[in-house]
Amino acid sequence: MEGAVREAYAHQFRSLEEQRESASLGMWLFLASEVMFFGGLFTAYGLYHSAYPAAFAAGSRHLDVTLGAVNTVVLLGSSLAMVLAVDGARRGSRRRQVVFLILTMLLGIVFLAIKTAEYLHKFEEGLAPGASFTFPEPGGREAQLFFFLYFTMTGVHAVHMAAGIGVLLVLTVRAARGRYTPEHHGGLEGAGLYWHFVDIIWIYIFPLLYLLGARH
Amino acid sequence: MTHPAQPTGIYYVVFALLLVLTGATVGAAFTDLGPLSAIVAIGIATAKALLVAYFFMDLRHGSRLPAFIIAASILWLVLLVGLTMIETASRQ
Repeated sequence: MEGAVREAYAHQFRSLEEQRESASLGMWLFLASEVMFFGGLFTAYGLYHSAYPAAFAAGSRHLDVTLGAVNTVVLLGSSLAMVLAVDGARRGSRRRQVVFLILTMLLGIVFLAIKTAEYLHKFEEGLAPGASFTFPEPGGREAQLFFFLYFTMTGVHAVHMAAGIGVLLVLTVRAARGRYTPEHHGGLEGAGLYWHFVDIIWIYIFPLLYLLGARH
Repeated sequence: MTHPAQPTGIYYVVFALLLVLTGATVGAAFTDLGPLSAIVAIGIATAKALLVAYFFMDLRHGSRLPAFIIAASILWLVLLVGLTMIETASRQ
């Protein structure tokens, strides 16, 4: 029995609790670095928005608010599913973990599918920055900056989503094999923190990019 | 960080609140709020972020260490964005 308990944590830790705290601390530090990573993009956005408010509002009016709002709801729903998967681990329910992890991933895939459709539409309209960029209104040069930031911010966010889905896929297999117990499910909690963080980034991206060009 | 399971009802309540706030921010964007619109949008987004962090990221049961790291990262973010915007706003 002693052997089984000792196997639960790596030799550099004094206890399971210490290992758990270290893993949690590591994830939070990673998220702090992510705050600065996205922070640079949000700063660039704030800077150019204050320089060219009219062009940014005009650019924003070319985004589809309905699709942005639907995606916000989809992502919030995936966060709910994620928290219920972790709750499943706390209850020792393998079925709940697997069902809610699959639901989390499915909603993540729906989000990325809607995003892809939006991107394709922007490319068709000639709103992708580059040599073929065409803006039907004055101030195209400045509006191109808006679309550069739109593609970069949402693109980097989408990459984070895709990476998260990959991680959740591994965790789903582990959960199905009974890896996570009510006492020991740090991996699942860490992935949950990451998933919710990516949700929070979108919570700011949505109003800043989609709702900025006041439509009243 | 790890604790016994809590009643799940609260997660659905928080989700419902997040949906209401999403509706509110869309509604505000279609209303003429003048210069207040940016503040309202950021304010609602921050309320949503706090709900996600407190209930979904489980800060309500967390130790003080995550809170310290979050506070530090927000401080740096405010310095980064704040000083940049002050420079832009005050440049002649």
